[in-house]
Amino acid sequence: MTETAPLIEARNLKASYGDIRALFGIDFRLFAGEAVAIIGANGAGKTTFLRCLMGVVQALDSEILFEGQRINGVPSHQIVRRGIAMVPEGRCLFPSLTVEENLLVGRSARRSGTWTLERVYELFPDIQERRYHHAMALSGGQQQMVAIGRALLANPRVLLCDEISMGLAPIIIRSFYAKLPQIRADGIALVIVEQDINQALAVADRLYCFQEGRVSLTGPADQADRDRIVAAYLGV
Amino acid sequence: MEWLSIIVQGTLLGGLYAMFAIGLALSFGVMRLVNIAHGDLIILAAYVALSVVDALHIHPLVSLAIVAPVMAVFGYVLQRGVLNSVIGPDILPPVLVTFGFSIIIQNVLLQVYSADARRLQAGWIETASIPLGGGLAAGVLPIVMFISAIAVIAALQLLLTRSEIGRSFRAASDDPVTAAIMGIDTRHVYALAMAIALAVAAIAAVFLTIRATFDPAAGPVRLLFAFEAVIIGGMGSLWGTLAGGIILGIAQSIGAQFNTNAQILAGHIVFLLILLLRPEGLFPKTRD
Repeated sequence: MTETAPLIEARNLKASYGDIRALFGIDFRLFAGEAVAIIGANGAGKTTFLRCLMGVVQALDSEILFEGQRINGVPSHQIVRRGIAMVPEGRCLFPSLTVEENLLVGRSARRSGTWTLERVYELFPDIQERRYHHAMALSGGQQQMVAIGRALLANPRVLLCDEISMGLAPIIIRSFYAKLPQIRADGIALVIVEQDINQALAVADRLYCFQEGRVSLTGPADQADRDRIVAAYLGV
Repeated sequence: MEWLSIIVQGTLLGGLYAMFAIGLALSFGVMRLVNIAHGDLIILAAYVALSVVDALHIHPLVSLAIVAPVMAVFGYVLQRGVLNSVIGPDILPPVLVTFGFSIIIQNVLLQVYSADARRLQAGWIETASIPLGGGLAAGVLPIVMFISAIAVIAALQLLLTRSEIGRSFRAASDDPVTAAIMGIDTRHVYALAMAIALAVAAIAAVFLTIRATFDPAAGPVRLLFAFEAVIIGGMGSLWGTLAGGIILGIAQSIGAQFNTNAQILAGHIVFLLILLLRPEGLFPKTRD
């Protein structure tokens, strides 16, 4: 296999919330079309890391490259325009917008591609029936469909999924993960942040385990040894 | 019949108050910006109209074709250049900064135009009236103001609910961080909101120049009326703001029957009563 440049590369990424240091030097790479799982306990820095990639949290004296170009300090809306979209933790739908309006906001990035409103409704027929309802009137699972659809309408090269299983019933979680291959089929690279290790490893090519703001384990997902993951996850 | 006439006059006056208030409601609704300089910006627009009318010898209402775009551009630059850097979770910094702007605008106007009270001549429209039947008549100017207010609100409502920029306004209002990570340039969106707010303020200002005299210190009273209309109507609803303006206008018209001082006082009393009895306003937005 020829050596290709990574789509996203973070070198020695550090970040803080005020005086509280959250990330202590993360080295991370994501290649085109790849699916990478980031696992770790609460407070390990997973969400902070994604927020750094999106430009919501500013990384400190470190470098984040996307397609070989620095994206540190680039405003969030321009990062989406370059091709990174996010399904935020807790879904973060816009309460005063309808389901369809929430989805259409995803097109603000003005990237063309194969994801259209029709295709999102094909992927999630449940929300098409409720397109004119207010987003908050939907069930948790349907809200998550809207959040994923909204991010897909940005036609990203990379989709960051922050705990899409949070607060959902196992059967609904399985249905989401069953749909991820359809999203990957377009060549969209995935970064899946999860607390549920099994779910994440089942779809990922590689994994990163975060622990207290550092990478405690990394490697191919299918070679991951459960005991080592548990140790890296819990720090025992 | 006399009371009916007073209520009609008050209602029509409410249209002007609603136009004073719309820009305030919009900037608070979209970016949680309490614009203390809003009244002074209305008076600034009135002086811009004065200069345009003086220079070009056109009818005040025609001057809107220049004044509204000028104020919109000014609003965009003001928001993008200054106010964007002070808005955030804390609503106090923009209050302080716009309070400073209020003082600056008043003093610049005083320097440039002196303290003389001014007024623009609009010809027949000032005095013409239309019989409404039953001995009732209403002035053409108040009717035009009222219809303008309805047209402005209807147009804004369409913009907010049907257009992409309106969707961006509402998304940024709900959650600016998420809006940004969905590709919305919130700084641009906020600047557009301020541009629209000041374009509407310009419309209100031109009507003000025809209806009454104004001077550089006239801003804070307009701000007060605007605040009262917004709060009576309930934050975040434009039709509610019109209702608030109408209630304020009727209260003032009734108060004016007793004596001229009671005119303003009656408006404040009604405002106070509504604040006591229904602090959320008459038509609060309860979507989220």
